[in-house]
Amino acid sequence: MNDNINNIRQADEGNDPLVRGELLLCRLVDGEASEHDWEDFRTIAGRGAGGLWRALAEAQRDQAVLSAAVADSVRLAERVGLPGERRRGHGESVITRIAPWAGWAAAACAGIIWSVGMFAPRPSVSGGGGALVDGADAPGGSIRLVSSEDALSEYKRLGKEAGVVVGEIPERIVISTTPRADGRGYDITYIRQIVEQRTVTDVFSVGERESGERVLVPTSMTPTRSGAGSL
Amino acid sequence: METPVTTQGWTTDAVDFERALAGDRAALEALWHEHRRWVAVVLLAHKPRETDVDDLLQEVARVMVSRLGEVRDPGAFKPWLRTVAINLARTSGRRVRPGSWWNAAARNRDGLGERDRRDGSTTSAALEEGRRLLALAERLEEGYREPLLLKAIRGMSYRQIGELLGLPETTVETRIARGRRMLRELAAAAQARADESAGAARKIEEHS
Repeated sequence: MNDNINNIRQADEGNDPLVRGELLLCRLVDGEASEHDWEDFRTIAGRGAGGLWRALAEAQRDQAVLSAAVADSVRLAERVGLPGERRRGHGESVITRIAPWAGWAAAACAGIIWSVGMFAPRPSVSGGGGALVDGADAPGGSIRLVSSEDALSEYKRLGKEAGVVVGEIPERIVISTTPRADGRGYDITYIRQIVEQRTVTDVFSVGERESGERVLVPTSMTPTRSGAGSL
Repeated sequence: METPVTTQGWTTDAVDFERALAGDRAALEALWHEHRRWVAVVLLAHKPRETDVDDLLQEVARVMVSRLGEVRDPGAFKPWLRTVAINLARTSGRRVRPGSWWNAAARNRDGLGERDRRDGSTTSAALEEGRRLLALAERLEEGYREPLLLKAIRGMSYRQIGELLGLPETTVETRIARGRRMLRELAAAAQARADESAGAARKIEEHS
C-alpha cells in the first residue's frame, strides 16, 4: 500500500510525465477546459492530427459508459436514508402502506355486509388514566385497562367467551423495519392477526341499479372446507 | 443508458450544518441527501467486491447520526465523512454487518436485489461496456481509482474532488488522466486476451 502511494506521489511530482494531449483530452471530456485549452486543441487538430478527434470521441464514449456503470452501481444510494428516516416515496401512513396487502380484506368488506355485530359498542373512557369497559368479572361490571396490551387481552378473553374471537395467529406480518436513530435496534411496524367468527343470518352484497345508485342485495355465501366463506 | 449520477449542491452551508449538529432532524436529513451520492462512489472505490454499496452506505448514515458531534468545523465535514466511508469499506470484509438483513429486506421489497441489478431491464450494450470498465478499474491503485470514479459523478469538478481528497486540483487532474490511460491499457489487454482466446477456439474448431 505504502509503495503504491509513493509511486503515485512520484508520478504526481512529474516522474511520469503526461503528454500534453492527454491532459487536454481529459479537460475537454470533463468539461474543465478553458478557452486556451480549446484553442490548443483546434490548433493541434488543424495540423491534420485527425487521430485527436478520434481520441476525443473515444475518451468521451469511455467516460459516458463508465459514468453509466457508476450510476447503476450506486443508484440504490438514493434510497438509503438516515436511521429512522422514512424512505422517499414511502412517507404515507402505515394504513396506506398496509392497504395493498389488505386489499382482499377491503374487498371482502365492500362485497359483503351482514346485519349483526358490525358495530360493537365503544368503551367508555375513565378520567383516571385508564379506560373502563363493561365486564362481568370486574367490580361494578367494569375493568380498568392501563395499557393497550391489557385492552387487547381483555378483548380476546371476552371475545372467546362470546364465541367471536377464535384466537390470534402467532406469526406477525412485518410492514416495515427502520434502524433506530441511536443505532440500537429497529423500529418495526407489523400486523397482528386475530381471527374472529360471527354467526350471520342475513347476508347482503353491494349492487348497483341501472341509474348507478348503490343498493344492498340479499345474497348467499358459498361454503368452503376451510370454513372461510366466499361470495 | 443509465442516467449519470449528479451532484445537487456541494457547499456545506455553515448554518445548516450547525442546525444539523444541534439535532435539527430536517437539517441532518438534508445534509445526508446532499452528500450521500459521492459517499456511495467513495464506497464503490474502496469496498471489497463482495460487499454491497447500499449496505455500507447505511452504516455510514448510522455513524453520521451518532458521531456528527465530533465534527466542529463545517469545512471538515466532507473529509470526515469520506474517512468514515473509507474505514467502513476497508473493514467491511472482516465483520458481520447488522444492517445487512434490513437492507436485503428493503431490496427485496423494492425488487432491487443484486440479481436485479445485474440482469435488470437497464442492461444495454453501453451499460455492459461500462461495467467491464468499472470491473477493470478495481485493478487500479486507489489513488487513481477514487478520483476517476468521483469524476463519473456528473457535475463534480476537479476542485470539488480535490477538496474531498485533500489534493490540489492539478494533482486530481493528472491522476484522472493517468487513471484513464491505465484503464485504456487494461481494456486493450483484456480485449487482446479475449481475441486470442477466440482465435484459439476457432483453430481448435477448424482442426476438429
